[in-house]
Amino acid sequence: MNAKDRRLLITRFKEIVAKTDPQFLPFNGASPYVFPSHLYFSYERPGRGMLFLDLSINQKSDKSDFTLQFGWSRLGRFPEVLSVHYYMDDLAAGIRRYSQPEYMQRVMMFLGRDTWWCFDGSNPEQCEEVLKVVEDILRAKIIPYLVGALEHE
Amino acid sequence: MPAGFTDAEGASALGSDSAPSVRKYLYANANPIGNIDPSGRVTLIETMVVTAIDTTLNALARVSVAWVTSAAAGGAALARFGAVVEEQVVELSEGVGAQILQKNIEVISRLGGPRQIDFLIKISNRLIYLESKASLPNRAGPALTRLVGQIESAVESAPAEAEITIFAANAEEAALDRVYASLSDGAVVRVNFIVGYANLVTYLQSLEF
Repeated sequence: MNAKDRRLLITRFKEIVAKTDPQFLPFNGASPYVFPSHLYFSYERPGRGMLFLDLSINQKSDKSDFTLQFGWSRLGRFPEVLSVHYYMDDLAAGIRRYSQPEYMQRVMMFLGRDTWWCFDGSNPEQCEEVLKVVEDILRAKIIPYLVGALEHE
Repeated sequence: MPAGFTDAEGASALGSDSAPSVRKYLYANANPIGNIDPSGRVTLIETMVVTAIDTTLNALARVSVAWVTSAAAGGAALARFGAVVEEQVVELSEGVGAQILQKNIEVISRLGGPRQIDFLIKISNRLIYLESKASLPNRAGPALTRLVGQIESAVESAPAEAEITIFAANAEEAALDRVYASLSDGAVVRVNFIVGYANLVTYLQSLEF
């Protein structure tokens, strides 16, 4: 993604997260599992664990797409797991991984396939449509799922 | 019809006395499940391989032209060239019945750091981490370091049952040797290198059964 579109996407995504659940704040912690082209948000509940949102921007300069990941850690650190390891089991309806101490998953869990949204700043209408979809999925699917993980004993 | 060897009890063919390619009327390279043969002369997948090569050569020609214009144009065309190869890999993989499960797969290791592999594909019950390259680095430098990092991270991160395959549309033998020489022993054992679209198809078809 080019630098201009990347800046726009990050700005708008921060606004969406702040509007949807202001308890998620930008996460700048160090971890070998933090990828340079991603933007992370975390929400910590002491004694319960940390929740994470991950805006995964395609790092290739000729690609203008992104996807979302999400997960948690009850070990007081950034989750040291890769989403790819869970992709298949979790596509089956009803699978919940709340008993896992650490977890990461792609938004494909809710959409049935690996989804990367195109974000081309030269087409503002299309960008807004994509951001609306992202906001809806965050509000209706991802955040309730994550909050459920924190409530799980 | 050329004579073949048969199993007398089961009356099934065990082998033949000629390679499929020289059998003038053989349907779909003797693989009617994996191939179809709309014209009766070539299989669809053969046509796709030729198209992939043609498309790649055209993209390469555009890179040369762009470098004459400016370094920025050359860099953009080079990135586009990589994307064209990636698109051909997707077309051919799907053409032989593979399913692209995910793209931009995250992999990580102490040796390689956080990296990405282009695709996770599934064919029959086999999982493959597939990285697509236009070519392999022809000298030591950042490109070779990046590739070795990608491979080492994939080796450490991928589940044991997954294959790890690096595809290059074109690569000299010396470049392949250089990559091998830079890998850890564990990576050398684990990773497949496939050079050329036709070999990619052969490799994927070999995993079908």
